[in-house]
Amino acid sequence: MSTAIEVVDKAPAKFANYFALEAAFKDALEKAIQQNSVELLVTAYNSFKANSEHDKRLPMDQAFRVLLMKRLDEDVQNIGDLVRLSVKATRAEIVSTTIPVVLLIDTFDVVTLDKCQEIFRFVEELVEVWKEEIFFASCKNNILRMCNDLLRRLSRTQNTVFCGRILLFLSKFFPFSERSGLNIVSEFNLDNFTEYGLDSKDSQDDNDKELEDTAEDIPLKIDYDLYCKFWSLQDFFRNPNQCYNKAQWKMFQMHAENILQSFSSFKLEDVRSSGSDNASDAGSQSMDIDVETTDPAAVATAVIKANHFFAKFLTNPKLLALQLSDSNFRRAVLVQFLILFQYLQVTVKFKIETYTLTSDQADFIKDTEPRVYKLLEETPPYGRRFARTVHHMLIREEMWNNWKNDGCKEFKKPEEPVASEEEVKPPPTKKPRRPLGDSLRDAARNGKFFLGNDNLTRLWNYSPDNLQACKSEQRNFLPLLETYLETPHDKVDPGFEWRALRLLARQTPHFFTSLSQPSSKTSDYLEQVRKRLIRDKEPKPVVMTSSHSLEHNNGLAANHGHTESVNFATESPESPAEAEPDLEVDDTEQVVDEAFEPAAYEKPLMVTKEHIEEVAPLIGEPWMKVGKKIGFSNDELLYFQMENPAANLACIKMLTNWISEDDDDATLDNWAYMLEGLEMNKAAEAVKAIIERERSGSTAAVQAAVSASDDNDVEVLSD
Amino acid sequence: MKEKDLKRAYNNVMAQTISASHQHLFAGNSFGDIFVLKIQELDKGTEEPPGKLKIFPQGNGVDINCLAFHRDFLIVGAVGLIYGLPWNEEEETLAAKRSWEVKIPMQVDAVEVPDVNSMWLNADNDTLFAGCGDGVIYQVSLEDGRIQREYRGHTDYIHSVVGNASGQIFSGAEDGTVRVWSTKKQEQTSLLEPHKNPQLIRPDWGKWIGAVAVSEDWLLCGGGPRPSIYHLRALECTRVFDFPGRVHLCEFVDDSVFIGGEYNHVQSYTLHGELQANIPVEHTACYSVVWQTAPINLMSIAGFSNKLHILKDFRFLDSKIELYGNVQGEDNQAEDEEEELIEEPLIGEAS
Repeated sequence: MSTAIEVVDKAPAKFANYFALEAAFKDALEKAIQQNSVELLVTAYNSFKANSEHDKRLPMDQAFRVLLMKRLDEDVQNIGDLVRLSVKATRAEIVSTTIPVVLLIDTFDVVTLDKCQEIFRFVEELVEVWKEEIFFASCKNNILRMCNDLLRRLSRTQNTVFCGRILLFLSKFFPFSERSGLNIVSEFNLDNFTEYGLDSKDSQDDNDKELEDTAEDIPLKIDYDLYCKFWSLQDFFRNPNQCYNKAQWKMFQMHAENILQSFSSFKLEDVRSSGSDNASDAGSQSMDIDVETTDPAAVATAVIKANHFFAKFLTNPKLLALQLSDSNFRRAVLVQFLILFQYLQVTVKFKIETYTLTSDQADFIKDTEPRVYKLLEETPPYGRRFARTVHHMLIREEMWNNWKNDGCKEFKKPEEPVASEEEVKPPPTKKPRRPLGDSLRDAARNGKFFLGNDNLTRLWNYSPDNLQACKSEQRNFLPLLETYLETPHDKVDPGFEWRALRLLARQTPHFFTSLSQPSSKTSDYLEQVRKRLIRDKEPKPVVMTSSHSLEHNNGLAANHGHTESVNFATESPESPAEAEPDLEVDDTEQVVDEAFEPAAYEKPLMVTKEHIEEVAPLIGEPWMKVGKKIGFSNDELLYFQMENPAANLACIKMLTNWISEDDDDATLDNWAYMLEGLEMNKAAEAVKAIIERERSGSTAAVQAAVSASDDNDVEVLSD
Repeated sequence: MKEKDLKRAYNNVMAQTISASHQHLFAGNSFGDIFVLKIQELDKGTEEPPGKLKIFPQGNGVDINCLAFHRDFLIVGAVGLIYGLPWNEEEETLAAKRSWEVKIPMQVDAVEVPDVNSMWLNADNDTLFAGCGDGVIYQVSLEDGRIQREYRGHTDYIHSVVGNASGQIFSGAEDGTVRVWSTKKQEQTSLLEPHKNPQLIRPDWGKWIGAVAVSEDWLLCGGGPRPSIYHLRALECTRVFDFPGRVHLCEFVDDSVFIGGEYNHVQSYTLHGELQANIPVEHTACYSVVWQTAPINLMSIAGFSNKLHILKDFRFLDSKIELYGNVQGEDNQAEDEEEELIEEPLIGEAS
């Protein structure tokens, strides 16, 4: 035991006192560790006032180390406790600063690798502690030695995970730009030779042969089958500088071509269902958004899933087929390609000058690199995400490479430029900006808001109250169901049908009444609804006006009375057919209906200039509403208004415009319906009267009640 | 020398077979040369090139249309005749002298000697079925070389004959039909006409059936019409494969379907019609595929090119074996020259 020897060494100086101190500290330490408080130790330490600091520290160190030796067999957790306590003790300055690390070194020296792996957890947990000023200066070398000792004991091929942990720890522990672990001259690990072939003897020979070959500089081996081609590539990955040799490059090019072709000829199947494939895509999209958070998680899950990692390739020929079908293996090789290509393309400080790519080589790489990425993307699972991650890593690698080329400069947080920017920025922004409250107040006073952009300002001030403007009817872009159903469309157009059903649900109660003939096809259903709507519209004068008279039981009542009588008069011959729409519709009735319809609808009554002149005065001021309903835009309406200051004239102008432009829609029926919808009852009545007049005029030969209705019309108009 | 180059450029390998010992691969071409490849050479796993092939010319007038191997005979189907050549396994030599011959009888109205286009060997009862250019399948007893039976029905030449252990024979022919025969019945038992199925027909390429294959439950056929599988008992077309070329070979391999023909890839599909492997080949057209699983996995695809394409796991192209120019016993100088010629496309400038 080294401790015993030390004890003997140090003993002569202050014999009695040293042991007394050590014994006392040991007791205190036992208690302290039980209660996990450093106070006890500090009090014990301070109770020996006579001794100098230096004298007291050594026995305290010793107490820790002895206690550690005692507790080694116990639970790993205890060692951790002890180390943590020693950290506290160091902070209390009662032990030498190296003691926590010394404790760990002692432990690692005497325990098995399995236990080392567990205990190393404490080292990792305390990485922030080691980085603190007091520890870093004194423990840096000890920690490095400890890690190197451990690494030396570990097999690079068997204990990959632990090796990785140690390296990760070191990278966390040392500052970002620490050069001590760096391969500064960019040497390749030429010892990492991948042997292949049936027996190792053979490959040994090859190895020797190859060494000779490189010496002679004309090493030409042709590999005959996929197996040889495949594994011969590893030699290029091991030593990329071979690619700068012309002959070898040819070989590499040929083999790479071959291997990539093999990869693309046999696509790996995604074992997961297509559903989860979507998920993977979604995942990859989310990665785009938030690389930092999802990426490590994804990688972690991938690592957990693919729990088999080999630091060396297994090269048995019998495995080749399996390996080629293994997506992890495939990825490993493809990534090797990418790394090689990257190396060949970037400038590296320590590359010999003659090592430059010819244009052919550059072209080959340029062509092949996207192919490799494509293959990576096609390799499930999560191919696209994987490819992107690799790409990302390689970009980062390039950054490191540049850093190395620049002589490994220390990294600085980019604080200063930001600060300077802030210094520069505020003055110009501050000057023009007035407090928001002020500008709001001014704007409210002037009724005009300035938004800093002419167009925005114009838009914002378009209407005095924007919220109200949003509510306006003109903002309602829903087409009328009837017009929508009439618009030309494909026979089967799901989009159309869906929209039509939505409109149906919004605008008519028909949606909720089941049809007598339930049809499975939506298009049939819509067709039926359309017919029904047409039918409903037909007797509208009867039904609607009566309901109107009920609703608006106001001064217009007299008027209604008139029109009603007119309607009954004119429509009495048709009433048997017309009365039904309110009742349940039967098939037979439908037939009658349809037979009847053409007569009424053969010639839709068009609006003429005379009609407009007749009705326009009744519309009066709110003519703009009518315009909107017809479908004129705001600009157009404004134009009409500007041209004709008088509402009446503007209205006439607008309506004339309507009938000249929109000749199909500009029927009297539509117009009447429109006016009714706008609750301009007077005008609506007038239009309806015109309808009656026109209709009876056109069917004068048949209809007997013409004159009566005409008279009535006159009455209405004179109203 | 010039003739060699011409042969190399126009080498059309129509037939292949594997010896009973599974150690040798025979490939015969339309120039009447039979190449013998030692399969072990392909499995050395070292960087040495596989050994050279042996060549056994059959004379100028012989087109080798199909090959089969039975006991220690290599059976060659040529034009108008089938003959057997004894194979000496020890010395790896093919006897120059034919040990037997079966002549295909000329039909009365025939204009030309019928080709033996396809053979199927029933090794259990030493019977050979030969589909010939006169539209007749001849059942030949290998005991005495007698033609035991003729299966008549096809109206044009037969491209492909296969059979199964239960005594069913399937044949595909230029007349667009696939006919099913039974050794126990005089008439054909059923008839398929893939070109009448709108799913299969490719009008530009005609109705002929280039290849037929059977497995336990399925019948696979293709040619001018798209390749497709039929259920053997129901004879219903259940799956169509989207092979983009004319079909000259199709085969059931394990659980997948191999299809090749006038296309620069040979494709492997699952039985559900999904493309599994798309293997690039140099052949202008593929005509023959042979495969074995023991002692080593091996598949060889041959066609109109000077190379055999070797696949070791039926999924990846493993290597390509040159035929002319890679033969033992060619005089040294020529060999050297040729060596360079072969390597040139591979290495370009060696020095």
